[in-house]
Amino acid sequence: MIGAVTRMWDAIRGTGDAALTVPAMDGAFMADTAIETADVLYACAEPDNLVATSSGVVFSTGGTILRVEQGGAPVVVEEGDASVTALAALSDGRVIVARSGAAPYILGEVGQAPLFPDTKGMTGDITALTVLPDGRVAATIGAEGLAEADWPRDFLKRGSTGSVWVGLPGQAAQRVAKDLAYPNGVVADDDGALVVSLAWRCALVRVRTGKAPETLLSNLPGYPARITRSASGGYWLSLFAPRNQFIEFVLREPAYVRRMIAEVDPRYWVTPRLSPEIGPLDPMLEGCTKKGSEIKPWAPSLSYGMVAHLRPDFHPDSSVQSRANGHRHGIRSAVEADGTLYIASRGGNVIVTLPTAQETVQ
Amino acid sequence: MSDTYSNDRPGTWTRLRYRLIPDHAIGEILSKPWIDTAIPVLFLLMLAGFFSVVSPEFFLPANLNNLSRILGENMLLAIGLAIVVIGGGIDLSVGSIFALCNFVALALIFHFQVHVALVFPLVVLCGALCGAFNGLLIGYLRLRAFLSTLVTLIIIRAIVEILALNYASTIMSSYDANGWDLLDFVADGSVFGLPSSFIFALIVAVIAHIFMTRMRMGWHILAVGGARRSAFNVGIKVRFTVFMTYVISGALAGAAAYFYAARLNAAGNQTGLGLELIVITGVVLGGVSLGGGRGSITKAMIGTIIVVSIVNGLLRLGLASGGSTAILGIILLLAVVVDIRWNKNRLKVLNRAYVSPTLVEMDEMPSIEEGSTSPYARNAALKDARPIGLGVLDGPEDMVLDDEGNLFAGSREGDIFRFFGPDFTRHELYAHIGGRPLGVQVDRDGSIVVCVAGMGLYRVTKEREVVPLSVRTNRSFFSVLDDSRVRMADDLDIAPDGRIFFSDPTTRYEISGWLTDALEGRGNGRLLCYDPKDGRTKTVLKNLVFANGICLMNDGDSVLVAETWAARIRRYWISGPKAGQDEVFLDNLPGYPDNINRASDGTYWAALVGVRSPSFDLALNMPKFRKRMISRVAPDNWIMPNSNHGCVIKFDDDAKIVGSLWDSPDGSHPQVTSIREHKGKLYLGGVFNNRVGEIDLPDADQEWTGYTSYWGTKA
Repeated sequence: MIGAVTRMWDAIRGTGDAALTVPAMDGAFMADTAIETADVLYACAEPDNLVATSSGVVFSTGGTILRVEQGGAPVVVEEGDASVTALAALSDGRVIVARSGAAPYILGEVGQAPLFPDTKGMTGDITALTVLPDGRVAATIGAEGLAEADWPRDFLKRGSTGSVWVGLPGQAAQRVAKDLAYPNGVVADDDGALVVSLAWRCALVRVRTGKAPETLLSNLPGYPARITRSASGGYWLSLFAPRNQFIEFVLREPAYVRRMIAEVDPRYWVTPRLSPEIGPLDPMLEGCTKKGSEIKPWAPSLSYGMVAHLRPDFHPDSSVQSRANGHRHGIRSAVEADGTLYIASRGGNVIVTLPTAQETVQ
Repeated sequence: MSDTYSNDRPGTWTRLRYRLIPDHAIGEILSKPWIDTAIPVLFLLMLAGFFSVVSPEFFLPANLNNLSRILGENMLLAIGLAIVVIGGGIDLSVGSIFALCNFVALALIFHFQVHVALVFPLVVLCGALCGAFNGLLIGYLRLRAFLSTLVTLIIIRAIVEILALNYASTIMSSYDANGWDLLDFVADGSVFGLPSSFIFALIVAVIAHIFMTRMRMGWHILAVGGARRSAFNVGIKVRFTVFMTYVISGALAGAAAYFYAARLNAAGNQTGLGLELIVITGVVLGGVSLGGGRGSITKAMIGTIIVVSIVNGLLRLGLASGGSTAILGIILLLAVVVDIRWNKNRLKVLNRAYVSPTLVEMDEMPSIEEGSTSPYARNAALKDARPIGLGVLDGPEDMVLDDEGNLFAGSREGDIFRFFGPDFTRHELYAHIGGRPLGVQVDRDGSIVVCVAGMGLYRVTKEREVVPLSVRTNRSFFSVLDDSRVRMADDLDIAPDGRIFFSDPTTRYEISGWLTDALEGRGNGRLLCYDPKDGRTKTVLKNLVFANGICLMNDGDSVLVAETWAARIRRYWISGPKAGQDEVFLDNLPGYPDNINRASDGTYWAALVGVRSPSFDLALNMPKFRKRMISRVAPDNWIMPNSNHGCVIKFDDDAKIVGSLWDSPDGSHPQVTSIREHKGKLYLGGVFNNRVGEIDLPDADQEWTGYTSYWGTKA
């Protein structure tokens, strides 16, 4: 009852859940162009899932898994039809692979072995994988029964059916959290507890079995994806798209969303975007109008490139970016290895590298 | 799901509602300057209704006559006080000055036996002197208005009490006056049934209104009250202006006292006690802002009528006099609160209420897919456009080439540049117009006719003289907005008989709001016709959805009018058997048509300023969604027609699409707003672009020019 009254009041006043305000990109998120000016390692279609293994950095493009070769073209590790949705590295160098519509498996020298023999209840694509210090593997499912490529639908529904699963390789996995708003990244903190990024809530939460998730960081200016460890003791958090007032508004317009889902080609929906390109049929906001043939860097674009650095207590202290007029947008994963930060721009179709010394905590 | 979904689509009722209810009128009424006055008027009407129910004898002629007599005196005070308040001050001493002048008047009439006619200027002078004392303190010594007039209130009141105590019986001992008939008229006389004081107050009000709205001094007072420092900076004598407001106020208090003295012949020390409360309440209630700079004489008058009616009505209802003062205090408090809140928020309210989206139903848009068989299939034909005027031009919305092959293009700062053909590397500032030049066309004599947003239709002669042709059209009868002004002249074309047809895309927005007009989707635009024979302009077509490009068709009997946000082109016959008729010529374009011009092969070019996107078409179908977006989302974040993909289409006289030319996604012509063909080349303009583009048309007639197509070879 009180909740209903509060919601009505909020709807009138534009406060609480009805507020359309988005956090300013200030402080740790102050605008820069480090990603835009970074060195290109590879240009490839939709690179994603960067993972540091004991034998080098591994990533995927579509259904192909590749390994970074210093000073040369990447080496194919495995090819497949279904797109790779998450990767993780075991301490012995083997790679755990999750593909769309399939159970996760361990890629060994001789072939594939199922990660969990029993995946009952684990419906929906895995969005992130990580190996815990005790050898267990954590997997996040974005939304129940949802193919990863279909995330815009879950976003527009403001879905909250994601879950986190943990288990030893070769044994049954346990669900440790459910009803999450699209878990999109997972990492173990210093105590070995799971920290999960919730994309639709723009927040990081710590998940413990039997306890309610504890919010560590909220009100992010973008939608978070993967979290990885940084060498300085903190974390790298990829934000795959910026928050935008118009999108917040659309989310609160159920009739528009229903009609858009029913009548409009999903390619042209009003959602956060990975690609910086605003095609002729794409939704466009007034501030993105080209003046003098160019989009302004401060334009309210639906895509952006950002990797934030978090302190060990998960507070952001700096970030690297590609702004609205840039091209390296839609960054879902970044990983640090040997003093280099590898950043995969899925929307910009490149992997870029940054030396980490200058980017770490001041 | 399917049920709730079908409810989301507009039904018959929704269609009818948006067709019949003129939502846009609300914002237009709110944007009127007199809207501040409308609220007190409404209040007055409600008050009248209240008294007619509670106390019907209120409206008896005897009471009304008595009321208007009091009203006349109070109005004079209110006019003076309003001028002070508008000038940024306050005068608390009006009641005391009134009492002093009353005493002086009585003394002059009865004791000194001065002629009644001569008493009037003397009393006014007395009031003016008191006011001048205030004015000296506040204007020249720059003391606080509130404190100074409070001090004057006390001092003058003290003087009145001393005088009344010592001389009241002396001066009232005689009832003989020099000029008794006149005194009688001033006291009780009436003209056309209205009391003399009321008539006098009305005359003063008219003069004061003209003074405040039409005369230099009045404007200075408004300026000083609105922004003292700015007024000083532009050279207004601020101190003198402030001084004068108090002199006026004092003089009018004297005039009011004259009538009061004649009417009541009472020299008691209670005269005018608490009068300032009634007058200030009236002035503020009427909508004169206490902050200064905002208000009018009319407002002060209406407020005074309200307050005097309330005081009188409450007395009739038998309320104790303390009670009526309390009610006055409460009304004053309410008026002050409303004054502050309204002034703070009125622009916000107006901005929200003004934009009023309507229901727009677009058909499914034709395919623009690259490589498809659609005539609109995307390509990169404009990719290699050569730039002209890079670094010179800012937003050339349109350009034209004259018979000598020179290119004329408008620029945002209000200039028209001439680029010398055939290579266009040299340029010169051809004419400075001042407004934003949009469509340009070359006339038979080689002069340039140009549409200037915010100004109208202008001609730049061969001697570079800028001549206004049309700045106004006929006012339509049912429009709330004054639509006689040409708001945003956009494009034009010239008929063989010399008539100039030009478009006014929206009567509701300035050029800065042209994209906001897209969110409304209503037919706010019109087609105008300027006739050089009598120099008049007439509106020939109304309710066009952003009337934009104009092109005279090859038959010379009709013009094409682009309706940008409706993605269609209309045809209007200007002469011949179908003259005056119009019909939709091209419908359901994939984008928003801008300027239209002739092509060398007898067809037409049209620029598309933007491409329709499915998400925006959907939003057009949901007016309430757009309305909420406008009130809740910052303008930069509004969804808009996608104007980052330039396109030019070509069609023939039978409305068949012949082809289209697109820019590549990273090209330098993201929005094309105009095109001109000239000697085998096509020129591209863009309202947000920094150049004019030039591409080759190898298959076109290499000798064809627009000038000869319209006017033949030069005689």
